[in-house]
Amino acid sequence: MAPRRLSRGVAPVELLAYIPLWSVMFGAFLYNAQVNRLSVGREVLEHAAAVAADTATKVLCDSAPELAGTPLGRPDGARAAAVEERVLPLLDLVTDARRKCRIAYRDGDGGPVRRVQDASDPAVHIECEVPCPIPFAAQALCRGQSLALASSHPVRPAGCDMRMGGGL
Amino acid sequence: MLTSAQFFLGAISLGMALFRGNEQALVFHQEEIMGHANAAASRMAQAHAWAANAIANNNAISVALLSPRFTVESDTLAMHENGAFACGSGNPFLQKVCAQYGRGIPRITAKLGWIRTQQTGMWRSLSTLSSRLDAVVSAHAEAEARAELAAAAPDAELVVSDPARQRSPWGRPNGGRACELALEDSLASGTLGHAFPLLMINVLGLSVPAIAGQLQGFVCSAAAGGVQPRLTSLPSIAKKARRTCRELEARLREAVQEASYGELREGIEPHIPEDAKPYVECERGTRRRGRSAALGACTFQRDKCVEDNTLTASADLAKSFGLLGGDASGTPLAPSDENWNSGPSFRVCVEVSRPVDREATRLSRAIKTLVSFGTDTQGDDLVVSSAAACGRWYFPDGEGSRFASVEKSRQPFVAAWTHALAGAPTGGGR
Repeated sequence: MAPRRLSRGVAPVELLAYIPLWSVMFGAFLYNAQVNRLSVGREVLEHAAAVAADTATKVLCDSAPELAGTPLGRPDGARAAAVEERVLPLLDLVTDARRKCRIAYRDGDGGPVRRVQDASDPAVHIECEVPCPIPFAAQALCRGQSLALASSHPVRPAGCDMRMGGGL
Repeated sequence: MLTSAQFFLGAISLGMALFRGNEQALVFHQEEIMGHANAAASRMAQAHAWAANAIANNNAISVALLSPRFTVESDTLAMHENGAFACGSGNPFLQKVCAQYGRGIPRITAKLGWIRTQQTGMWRSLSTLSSRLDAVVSAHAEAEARAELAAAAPDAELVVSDPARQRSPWGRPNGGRACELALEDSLASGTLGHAFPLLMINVLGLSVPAIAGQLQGFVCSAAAGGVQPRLTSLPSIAKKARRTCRELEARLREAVQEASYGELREGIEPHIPEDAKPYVECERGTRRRGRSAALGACTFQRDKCVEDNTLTASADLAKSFGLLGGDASGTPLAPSDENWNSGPSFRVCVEVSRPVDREATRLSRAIKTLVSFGTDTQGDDLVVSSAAACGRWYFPDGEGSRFASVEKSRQPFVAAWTHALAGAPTGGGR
């Protein structure tokens, strides 16, 4: 008589054997999801910076009456507001833009731009705190519950009658 | 089990890649139409800036054509004045001058006729060209922009908003300023007074530049600024005015002297000649015979009379000389909008629209919701099907520009206009 194989308890053991694999799989899924969110955040930020640079190029030296309250070339007041108006809805796609994003104008040396006429290689710089809500993956990919992303695009306004842009 | 796990991970990865691909496609779509709008707006603004420079050149040519006319007109007037004086004198030398003047008349008449025909004809032609140029270049630039867009994105549409198509932004006659500049050129050129034939001399010693200055108001009435011009530099005008006033005063004295004492005491007005009335002021009831050079309490305002008659005599002479006022339909032009560097008439806007793939949008939204565990339900701000951009053309008189010193009234005569991209009007997206 052949010895009887003991088969009781096989299923739970096999199940236990697969737990590490499932954990890895689930972890990979979470990691992938967080990477995807950050990638989308990066792309949206890049896009927002491109739109900001385009808008700044158009409005910083524009002489339209609605911008007349802010001197030509000054990246604040109505001119900065026009840029924000275009960019914040885009940034809202990835974070709470008004609280978590900063839009700054910097020159080639990284210093603040007071007037684009006086700045060399002015650029618009956007920095945002993108939330990391995915459990476990956030600990691996982010610092705390968010990750700082930044993007910078050059601004080339014409119409302030300086050396750049129109060349006059 | 492993295979199903691989399938699961594979599906997740594929879905995410698809999502990112969709997002990138939307971003690219938006940036692409933004670029098309910028390119079209820039092209159209550049065309308008070119037109503005062409118009400024037309204006400068108009000034250049008027400048010699001032010289010829004032020289001719001075010659007529000298000729009339010489021919009215019995002096043998002046008779010689008179003969020279008589022989020179056909020559100066031809010269004057030619310069007047040339100037007025060219002014009218250049003005017509200037007033139509913006509409023409706008249509041409739009056609080019449409062709470029059709080649790059056949399913995209372009809508242009250009006020210059309906009404030329250069719609204000600017003959007055052109006249001032032409006179400045004439005075600075040193040509005034050099149209006399060799043997003819300026016997009266007239100041030809002064005559040119006074002619300005007749050649272009807009330059006079509402003040009636007068040719006080011509002795004949002043002489005629003084003579007329002397005669009027004499007739007035006669009228007062003829009035009886009784009439005067009763306050009955003497018969004052009609043409003298504007220059007579009487104190009613206090008139006494023999007082104040026989005019009683009436005074004759000689200065006012001379002034008025100088005006009349100047206008009569200008009319007989064939000088007409500036013709508004044929003058150099300035922008209709005084504040041209920020006015809406110097701005062209375009909107480029291109449909977004709706399936891609739906897929993107679904995956976004799935991946975010249902929390990411923000708007569709990446889904943009149209973009607007404006271009403006302006005179670079701002701080730092090499044309900053060009005063505003001279800017329509200087071909330094340039263009820049500008924001779209509020609500149209920037």
